[in-house]
Amino acid sequence: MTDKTLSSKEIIQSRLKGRYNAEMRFKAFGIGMVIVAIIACLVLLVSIFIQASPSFTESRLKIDVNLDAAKIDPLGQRQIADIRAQGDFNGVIVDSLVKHFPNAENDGSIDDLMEMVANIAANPLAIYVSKHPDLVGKTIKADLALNDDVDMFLKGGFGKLERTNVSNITVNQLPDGSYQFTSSQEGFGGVKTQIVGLISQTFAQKKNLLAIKQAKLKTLQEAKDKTPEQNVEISQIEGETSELESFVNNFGAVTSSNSDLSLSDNVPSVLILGGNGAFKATNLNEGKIDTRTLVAPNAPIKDIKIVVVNSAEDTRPLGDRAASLGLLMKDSGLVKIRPNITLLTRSDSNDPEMSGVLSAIIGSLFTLLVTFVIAVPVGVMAAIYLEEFAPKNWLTDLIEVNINNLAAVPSIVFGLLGFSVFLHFFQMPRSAPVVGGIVLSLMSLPVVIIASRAALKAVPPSIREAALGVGASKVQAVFHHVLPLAMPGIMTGSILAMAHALGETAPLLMIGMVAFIADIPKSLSDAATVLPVEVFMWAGRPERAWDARTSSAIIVLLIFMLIMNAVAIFLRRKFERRW
Amino acid sequence: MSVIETQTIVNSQEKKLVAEIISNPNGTNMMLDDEITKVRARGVDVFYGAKQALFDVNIDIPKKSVTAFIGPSGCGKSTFLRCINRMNDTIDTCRVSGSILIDQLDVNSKSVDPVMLRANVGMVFQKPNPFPKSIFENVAYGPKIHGLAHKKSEYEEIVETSLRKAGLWEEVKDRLDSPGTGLSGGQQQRLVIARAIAVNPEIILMDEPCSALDPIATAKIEELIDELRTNYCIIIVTHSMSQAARVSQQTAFFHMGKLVEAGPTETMFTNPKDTRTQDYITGRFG
Repeated sequence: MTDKTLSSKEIIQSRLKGRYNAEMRFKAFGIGMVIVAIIACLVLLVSIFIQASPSFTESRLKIDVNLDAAKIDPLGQRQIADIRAQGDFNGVIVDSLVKHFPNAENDGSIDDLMEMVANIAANPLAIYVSKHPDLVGKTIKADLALNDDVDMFLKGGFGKLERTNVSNITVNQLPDGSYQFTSSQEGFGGVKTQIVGLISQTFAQKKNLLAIKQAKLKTLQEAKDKTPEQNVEISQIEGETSELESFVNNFGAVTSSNSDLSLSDNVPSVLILGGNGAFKATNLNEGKIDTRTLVAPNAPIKDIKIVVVNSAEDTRPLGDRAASLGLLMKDSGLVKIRPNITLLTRSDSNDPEMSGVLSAIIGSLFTLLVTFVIAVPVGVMAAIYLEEFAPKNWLTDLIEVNINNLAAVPSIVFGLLGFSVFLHFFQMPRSAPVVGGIVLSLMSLPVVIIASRAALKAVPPSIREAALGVGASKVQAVFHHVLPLAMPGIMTGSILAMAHALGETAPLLMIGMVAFIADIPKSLSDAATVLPVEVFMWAGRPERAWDARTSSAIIVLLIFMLIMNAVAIFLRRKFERRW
Repeated sequence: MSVIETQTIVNSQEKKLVAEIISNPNGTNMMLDDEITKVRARGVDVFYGAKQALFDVNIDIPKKSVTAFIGPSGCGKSTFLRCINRMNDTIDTCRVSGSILIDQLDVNSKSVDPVMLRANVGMVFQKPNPFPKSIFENVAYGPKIHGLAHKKSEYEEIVETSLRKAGLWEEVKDRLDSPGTGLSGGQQQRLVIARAIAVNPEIILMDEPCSALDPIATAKIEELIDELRTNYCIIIVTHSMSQAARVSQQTAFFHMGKLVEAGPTETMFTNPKDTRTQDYITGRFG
C-alpha cells in the first residue's frame, strides 16, 4: 500500500510530467500531419504547374501569305461558300513558306513545310478571307498556329536546346555535295564534350538496363517447361537486348577515345544552322564536322550556329529536318512565341495547337447555372421545412436518414438515373447542360440540405423566441430573423456543393457530356462538355502537347474552384453577424 | 367553466387590488374577483412527453400589478409562465391541459390565435435577445409585422415612446441605427422590454430578466418594472427572493410542479401558510 504513504499532491506531481509529455506528443503529431498535408498540396500544385508550363506559351507563324486567286477561289465567283469549300488555304500557306525555303522541293523539306500548319489551323484564315472576298489575290499578313510538335520542340519539350557560337569556321562543300565545317583552333571541342557527356549518360542508362534484361533473360531461359507466353517474352527481351548491346558496343569506347565521333540517329542530334540552311553532324572531332544536309542553304553560309538537341531523333516524334526548319523559322522571326491565348479563346480540337477550353468553360457555367437554380432554392426550402416546421415523427426521421444516405450515394448512380429517366423516359437532349445540371443538382441537393439545416440549427433559439414573443408568426420568425442569420452558412454550404458539382465527371459521362464539342454552346440544350470531362478526354489523347494542355485545363478548373471558394469565404465574412 | 363557477370568489363589491387567500384542496392559492383578474388559471397540467411538469395549477393574477413566481430550479414556474402566451407551442413534445383565461377568454381555445395572443402578452427572456439589427428596427419590428404603423413618422413616434417607457431613450437616442447587440447587457434587456411594449400589450411576462445582469443594471430594470406596473400586468419569474420582495405585489411559490402557495407578497414573506414556503423563503430549503 504505497499509495497511503503518498499525499494526493505528490500523486498529482508524479503524473504531471507524463501528462505534459502526452500533450507535447499530441501537438507534435498534429503539426507533423499539417506539414505533411501542406507538402502534399504543394507537390501537387508544383507538379501540375511544371507539367502545364510548356502550354503557357504558344508558337505563332507570322507570315505574308499571297492569296492566289487560282487557289483560293478557283470558281472566280467570290462567293463566301465557294471560298470556304474550295479554297486551298494550306496550299497558299505552304507556297509562302516555300518562298523562304526555295530549295524545299529538292531537299525534301517540302513535306515538313506542309506539316507546319495543320488544316484546322488554316481555318481562321479561311474564315477571315471568306468574309472579306476582296482580299483574294492580295498579300496579307497571317498569324497562324504552328504545328504542336514543332512548337513543343522550340520550347525544349523534346530535350533542351543548347546553342553554341563558334567563331572562325570555314565551310567546304565536299565532292558528294555535303558540307564540311572546320575550325582552325579546335573550336568544336566544347560541342564534342557536350555530346560525349550526353552519350555517356545514355550509355550508362542503357548499360544498366542491358544488365537487368540479360539477367531476366537468363532466368527465363533456364526455366524448364516454358509456357508459350514465356517464349514470346524471351524473344521480345532478346530483341531488346541486341538493340542495347549494339548501342553499348558502338559507344562504349566513345567516352575515352580522342578519335572521331560518329553520330547516328540514336544519339542526341547536333544541328548546324547557317545561310538559311541546316545540317546534321554525322562525324565530329575537335577541328572538323562532317554533315548531312537537311535544308539546303539559299544564301552564303555565315553566322554559323551550332545547336545541340538533348534528344535523339529516334526518340522524338519530330525529325531533325522539321526541327531545324522550326529553328530557322524562329531565328528569322517567322515564328514568334506569345502567351497561349488560344487555350482560353478556342474550343476543343483534334490538333493540340488549335485547342482551347472555352466551350468547356461555357458548358460548365451553363451546367452550374442549372444546378444552382434547382439545387439551392429546393435544398434551402427543404431544409427550412424540415428544420423549422416539420413535426418530429417517424416519417421525418425516415426522410432525414435518407437524405444523409443520398449524400453518400456514388455520383455515377445519379448519372445512371439521369440517363434512364431524363434521356430515355423524358427524351431530353443528349450532352445538354440542362440535363447535366439537373443530374448534378440531384447530386448536390442532399449536401445543400444538410449544410442548410446545420446553418439553421446554429441560429440560437433565443432569436426565434424573441420573434415569436413579439407576435411574429412562425413564417415571419423564420424569414425575418432565422434565415438571414443562417444565410452565410447556407451560402457557404451551397457554394461548396456547387464547387463539388463543378468538379464532377462521372455522372456527366453517363448522359453523354463526354463528347467532342468544337462549338461554343449557345443555349442550355446545345451539346456541351464541361471542364473536368475535357480534362478527362485530353488526358487520353496521344500527342505530347496534350500533356501540357491537360495540366493547363486542370489549372483553369482549379482557378474556378478557388474563385468559388473565395466567394464562399467572402460571403461568410460579409454577412456573418454576431448575436 | 364549471370549475370557475364552483370556485369561491372574493366579494365583488370590495374590488381591491389586494388578493385574498382562500384555501382549496391543492394548496393555498390566490383567488380573485373577476373584475380585477387579468389571468386566471384553472387545473393547468403540463406534460413534456410522458413527464408531467405542472400539476393542477389554479391561480388568479390581478391587473396592473407585479406578480412574482418563485421556487427552486425545475419547479415549473417558467413552464407556467410560457403557458400564458403559448410559447410552449414551440416545443413539440409539450402538452398543456386545463384552462388559462385572459380577460375570461381561454388562450388555448381555437378562437385565440397565438400571434394575436403574443401581441397582447409580451415576453422578456432570461438572456437579453435583441435581434441582430439596429435599435430602431428592434423596436419597430413588432409594430411593423402587426401593421400598427405605416409612415416613418409613426414608427419614429412608437420607437421613441417605447424607448422612453423602457427608460432607454436618453441613452440611445443618438445611435438608433447602431446594432442592438452592441448595447450593454442591461441596456439590451431594456431594449427587449421596449420591443415588447411597442406592440402595446396588456401583459408582460418576464422570465428571470435580471439573472444575466450586474446589480446596477438589475436595479434599473427593477425600477423600470415598478414604473410599468401602472399600465401593465407584469408576471416575473425570479430566483432572487429579495427581488420578488422588492418589485412584486403578489408572490406565488412553486415547488415540484405544484403551486404551493400564492398571495400578497408581504403576507408570503412575513407569514407564509405552508412550511415549504417558509423553508424556501428563509433559505432553509434543501
